[in-house]
Order: sequence, then structure tokens, then C-alpha cells
Amino acid sequence: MSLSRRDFIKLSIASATAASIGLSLPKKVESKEIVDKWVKGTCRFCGTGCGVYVGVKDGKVVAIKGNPEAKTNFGFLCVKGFLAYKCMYHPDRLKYPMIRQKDGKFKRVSWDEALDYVAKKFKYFHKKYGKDSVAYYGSGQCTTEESYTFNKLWKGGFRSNMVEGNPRLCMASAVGGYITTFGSDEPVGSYADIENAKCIFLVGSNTSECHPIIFRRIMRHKLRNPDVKIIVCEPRKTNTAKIADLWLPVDPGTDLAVFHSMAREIIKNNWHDKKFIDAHTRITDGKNVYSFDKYVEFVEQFKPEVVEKLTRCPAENIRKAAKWFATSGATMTLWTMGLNQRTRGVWANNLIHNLHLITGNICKPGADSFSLTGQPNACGGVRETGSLCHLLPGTKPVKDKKWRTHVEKVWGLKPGTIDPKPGFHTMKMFDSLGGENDPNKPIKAMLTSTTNPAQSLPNLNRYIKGMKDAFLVVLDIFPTKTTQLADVVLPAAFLYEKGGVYGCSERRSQLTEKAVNPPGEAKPDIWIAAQIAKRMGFEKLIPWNMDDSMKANEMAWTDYITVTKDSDHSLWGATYDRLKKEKAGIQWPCPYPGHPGTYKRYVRGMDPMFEHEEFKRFFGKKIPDDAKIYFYMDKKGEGRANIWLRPYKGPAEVPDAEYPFYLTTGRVIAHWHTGTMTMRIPEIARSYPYAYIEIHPDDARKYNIFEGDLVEVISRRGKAILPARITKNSLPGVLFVPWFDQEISRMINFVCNDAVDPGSKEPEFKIAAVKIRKYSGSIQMKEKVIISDINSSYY
Amino acid sequence: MKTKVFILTFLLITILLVFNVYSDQHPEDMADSTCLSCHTDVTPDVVKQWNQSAHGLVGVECGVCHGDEKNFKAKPADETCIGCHSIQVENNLAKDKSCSSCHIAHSFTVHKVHQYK
Repeated sequence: MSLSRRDFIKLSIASATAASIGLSLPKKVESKEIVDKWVKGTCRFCGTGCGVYVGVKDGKVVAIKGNPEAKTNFGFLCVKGFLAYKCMYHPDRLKYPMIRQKDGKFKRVSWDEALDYVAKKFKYFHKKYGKDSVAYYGSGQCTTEESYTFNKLWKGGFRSNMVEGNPRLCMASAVGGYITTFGSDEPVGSYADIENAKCIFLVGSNTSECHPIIFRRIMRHKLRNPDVKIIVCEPRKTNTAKIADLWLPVDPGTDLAVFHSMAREIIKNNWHDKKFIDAHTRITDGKNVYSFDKYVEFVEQFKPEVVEKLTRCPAENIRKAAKWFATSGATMTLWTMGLNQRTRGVWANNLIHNLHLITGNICKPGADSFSLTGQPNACGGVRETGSLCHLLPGTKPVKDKKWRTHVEKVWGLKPGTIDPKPGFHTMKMFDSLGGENDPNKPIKAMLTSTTNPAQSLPNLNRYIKGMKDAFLVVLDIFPTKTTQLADVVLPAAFLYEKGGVYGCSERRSQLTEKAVNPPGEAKPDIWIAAQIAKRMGFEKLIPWNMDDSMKANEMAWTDYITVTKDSDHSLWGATYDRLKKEKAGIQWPCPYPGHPGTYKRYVRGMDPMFEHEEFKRFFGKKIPDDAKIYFYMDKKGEGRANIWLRPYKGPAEVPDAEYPFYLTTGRVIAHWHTGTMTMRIPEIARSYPYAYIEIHPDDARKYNIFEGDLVEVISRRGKAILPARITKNSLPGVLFVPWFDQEISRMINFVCNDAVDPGSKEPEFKIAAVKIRKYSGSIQMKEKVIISDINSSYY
Repeated sequence: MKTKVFILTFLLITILLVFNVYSDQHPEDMADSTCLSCHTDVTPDVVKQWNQSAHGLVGVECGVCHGDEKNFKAKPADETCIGCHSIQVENNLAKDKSCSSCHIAHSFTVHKVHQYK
């Protein structure tokens, strides 16, 4: 197109005039003009599973937009999701393999040199210290194919169950809750229940910041239907409470009493569903089965006034919440870490399920007991592939001989290859990690992928030395606190540089296509895993060692869905070709090609497992022909869910004279986990350039603390120094600190408690007893801290 | 005469372009502060409008649309809006307008006024 001088002048004047008064004339908004192509994928961050399109121009990602056809987000994304691509081209990206030298500095090496070195060291440790001396610590951010590959290599190749991942730190209690109540992991319903709910109970979840797009759906539902009741139960009146009709404030770790009290009120007022209870549940304490009267008698001790004294939750609020929960028509509960990261996390999960079971608020539209997953692939990648020390693919225990034999057969292994004894759970694994010269540390080497334990573990002081002394191999995209302790750093590809499947909170698996090439010599984790396997003699077990990551992904995926084909988690119908075509992914169970996926489990006509003969044969399930609702994974074979008689138990640590405050921790909307990616995106880092401590004005006054003053927070384990934010949104006596900050003096995980839930082995991040002191007045903060120098030291 | 007009026009464009650069510059050094820590005081109405909007509820904070002092944009570009509103951006009938030309900053109440209030 030619442009005359006159046209040029007219356009220029118009443009400049508009600009001078602050108006922007349109940029090229047609998608085809912004990018060369849009590539289908999934968001890289939380467990919502938002569908995205990744915009590629000249071989680089230049934009991300929501996928309007995705059933999770309907085209909307949160601020992290649509700005994610901005961290991909940050100059700190790791581009070459590196090995730490004797002088403590890293040296760039070739991939062959790095992989040979890792394989040689692993072989050496296996030979000298046994098969369990080398551990894998993965992540709910690895793709399913990657987690499955590492899990297969360790359990089928090395014969070692020393396989863990950071979902142990976030979702293990939810797994324990689902399995002990329903017999099978993961929710009964789906996000689609949100729009059908008449009452939504948000507990232990700052949904608006941690799952913003789920919150958006709840917000929209509430704004369109003002009669829908929203109840928030939290120690803090967070941004989520903005749309709430009722806030149940509780001291951290005391909400078990509130849940029991709600159950008491429901029964006292005859709001319970006796028919559902009789037909589909049993009352148990794990040893014996009791009548419903026993449950009535048990909850009688939790009178709202008594519970108010214990929890600080007003009795009136408990009564109102009970009424709304039971009588609104369809109630959905959503929770995350506030229930899970507790020493009684499994019990907290059980008690929420109890409320749904006694009111029949399950297995019908809008009614569900729904755990929101923290990470994008904790469900799909770690829980479902069994990439934890006690599990095998299909979320089945390693000690289950029948399933172990089945996995060995499909993997082509000799019977007896897989060790029936579980490995060490995460905290025990890191506690057992150390140098060769330390006889008390049986684990001598570890490979970590896509996670940053040197910042994310609780009570860090206890575990740093072990990581430093052991042979530590780290796969990541940026230098982190963990690479500061590593011996070998292997540069990994970003999600959109490799592709793969993520499975989100609602049992939905979605495929991300590879959009661009990784920078420098960075490689997909699956390639790294397969190359290590090849060098250690397991090429036959892990044959997908080709350079084409999508080909390798497809082979790993097909292997995985073959192993779990006839399980209750079946994805046999979700072939790779189909996942490529599906705009919104597929929800399991999906047991055969053409099956549309499952919106709701345990309901005849919706759940395909009712008619899945191979499944029923393998697991010995008999589902009565007239059963409309049947919890078929019930271990007793009666199709019932358990209503648990769980006694009240508070947190591992409560405030006392010496440590008078509760400390609780959490996330903010702008940052993902340890901030290694999001702190490199200026548009969002500006909102939260450093961590802070929230303190109630009454407490601030007592300690003469003003806004911005530095406050030292000290527990029995460690301390941190943070600027004060004075807010009435926390209860007096309760402090809050977000955990994203990489500045070591502000890293709150030094303070957190590493006591674990005896069932799920998940640590109690959420509750610590602490004391505070005013450290200094307000100073200019060191902000937006990132680690750029790979040779920088930890302290 | 024609040459004179051309030169004058060229000079005018240059001056206006300079203003344009200035208009996309944050007037203050932000130091270690967040946007809201200042704007709650200096532009309280804007913060209130934003806080009550859907953007406020779901945490689309200032920097997401405006950047920070190093990449400040007085008017958000459509490339930002497309993250969540791709259908609207791509089907924008007024091709000569960007989103922020019409949608009222910072309440975004053009067509869904009743739902947001």
C-alpha cells in the first residue's frame, strides 16, 4: 500500500495530537497481526487449569490470551497467567548445563558431560549406599509425562520408592481426606457446580488471590444471583470476604470445632438428610462402625457457645452458617491450604466431607465438597501418576500387591521388582539427606525438578545443611535459593517450550502444545530424565529419549494411560491425538475412546465406572443394579462414604507466654510460590515488591509499631524481619506473612513449623507460635529481590 | 510555500511526539513503594472506582495495565486487555478505537453497569 505525503502528514498529525493529550490510537488488534500463530495450552500457575492461547511471533512468545472455549476459565486469566510469557525471556534464564567445581564456582559444560557425570555419581551412590540413597523430589508444576517418567525410572528402574514431590506440602491432606471418606482421591464434582450452588462455603482458602479465576466465577455467580449465600471461614478477613455474606473468624487450627458445631446445629434443627445418611454413609472412628445416634451424641459436646470460647468464632455466626449450609438447596465447599497444611489436615478434610454427607450435599448439581489444588499439575502429574513415596500410578499404594503386580506386568518388569515398602515422605526425605561422611543421613543424592525446596520447606534451618552436603542436581529455569546449594544445574525448558499435559483440580487433563524452542541449550525435563535413564541402563524402560519433546510426551502419556486403563482414574479414552483436538481437555474417568469425560462421580448415568466391567472385575466391585448413587471405591465394598468421629485436636503449637502470637502464612495474587518467575515480571512485581507482616492495630499499639516499621518475628525455629502492615483484617493476636520473598532476612519459612500430619505427612505451614519485637523504624526496603548470579551464596 | 508548510508540520509533529513520550512517563520515582500506597492518597476516587470494579475484586492491580516507572503506560494497550477479553478485542467493531478509548477507567462500567454495582 502506498501512502501519499498528504496522507502521511494527516496521519502523523492525528497521531501526535492524540498522543499529546494522552489518547492512544488503535494498535493492530487483529490477532493475526499481533502474532504469527496462537498455540493452545494451559496456564503455568495455580491448579485452576485455565485454558490459554500462546501468541508466537518470529519464534518467540509475545502474548497470552484466555481460551474462551475452556470450561475452566471461559477466556479469563489472572494477572500471572496472561503475563507469564514476560519471564521467559528474562536475561537470568539458565541456558547451559553447569557443574560446581572444587573452588565452589559453577563451570559451563556440555550436556554429555553433565549427564555422564550425574549418571556416574548416581551409580556410585547406588552401589555404595544402596538403591534408596538417591532421591527424586519433583513438583506439581512438572507435566504429567515428566512426573510419570521420573516415577517410572525410580520405582521400576532403580527399584527405589524415594520419590516425592512438593504436592506433599500442599495437597497430601486433601488426598488423605478423600481416600478415608470416599475411598478414592479427588473431588466428586466439578467447577460447573459453582454456578449451580445456592450456598458457597469458602474455608481455609483466600480464593480471590490464590485461585483468582475460580473466585471470578464465584463473584459472577453471586453478583448475578444475590440470594446465593457466601460464607468465608478464615482467621483473616481477606479480599475473598469482599463478596461474603458471613465471615466465620477462627483462630488458626481451631476450625475443627466449628465444623463439628455446625454439624450439631444441623442435627439439632433437623436439617440433616436422614434418608441420604441411611442409604449412603456409615459412622466410624476407623475401628468400629456406629449408629447415627452415636454421632449425634459425639457432636453434642460442640455447643456453639463452647466453641466460641475455643475458636473466637461467634456462636451466632456458627448457627447462621449451619442453617445456610443445610437449607439453601445446594451447597458447595471449596478449600485449599488453610485446611491442608495442618497437623490435623486429614481430619479437617474429613469434617468438611461430614457436613456434606449429613446434609446430602453431594452427588447432585451445585453440591460438592471440593478441594482446590494449589499447583497446575499436582492432581494430574503427582497424585494421579502416583509420584509420591507410597504410591503407584492410579493413586494406588505401593504396598497393594495386586496393583504392584499389575504395574510390573505393564512395565515389562520381573515380578517383585517394585519395592512394597514406601520410601520417605518429604520432610523425612530432607531430614535424611546429607553428605557421604554423615552416617545419620542415608540419602546421599537428590534430583529436584521444577521446585525450590531451599526456600519452600518449613523450618529451613534444619534442612539447608543436608541439601548443601548431599550431591544435589537441580532442574530449573532460573537461579534460585536451591541452585545456590546445588552441585549440578541443568537448564530446563518452560512449559510453552516443551508442551505436555496438566491435570487440574476438577480431574481435567489438558494438553499444551510446544509453541517455541527453549533458549540456549535448555532442554525439556522429560529429555533429561530419559537421558539419565539411558546412561544408567534403563533405555528399554524409558525409550522416549528423542529430541522431539512432543513425540516423547506422547509415548510417556500412552504408557501412563495404559497402566491406569481399568482403574477408577482411567484416562484410556484421552489419547494424545484427542487431547490435541479437545479445546477444553477431558475429565476422568474417561475409560474408552469417544467417552465425553465425567462431570460427577459416583452417580449412575454420569459416572462410566458403573458399567465398566474390566474395572469392576479387577477391583472386585459389585454395584447393585438399582443403585443411583454408589461410592464404589468404599474399602468395605458397601458403596458407602464414611462420616468420621474425629475428636477435636488443635495445632501442634499454640501461643503461650513466651510466644504469644499465632503466625499464619500464604500467597498473594501477584506472586507464584517463591517468586522466581513472577518477581521477574515488572507489571506484577510492583504490586508486591517485598514481603511484609500483617498485624492488628491493637497489637501494633502494644508494641509501639507503626506502618512500615521493621518487625522481627521469632519462633522456636528461626526468625525473619519484615515491614509492618497494620490492618484490622486479621484477628488480634494473629499475624500473617506471605512467603514469596527471596530476600533471606524476609524468608518466613525459617519461622514455620515442620511438624507433620500423622496421616498425610503434610507439614503445618499454616500455624506457628511466635513472638515479635520492633526491630527498627521504617527504612527503604531492598525490593524485587531475585537471584541473578548462579555463583551467589545461600547466606 | 509548500516546503515551509511541510517543515512547520514536521516541527509540530516532533514537539508533539516529545509530549507523547512525556505522557508515558510516571511523574515520580516510585522507590520501594507500591502503586496503591501513594494513589490511595493522591487519587482516592480512582482507587475507589477500581476497588469496586471487577478488576478490583479479582486483583488486576495498577501495574498490570500501567506498568511500573520503567515501562509506564498512561493508557493501557489492547495487548494487555486481550489476556482476558480476547473475543471483545478481536471483534471490536470500532476498529479505530482501543478498549481504553471508550471503557470508563477505572470502573469499566460501560455495558455491565448493573452487574458491577
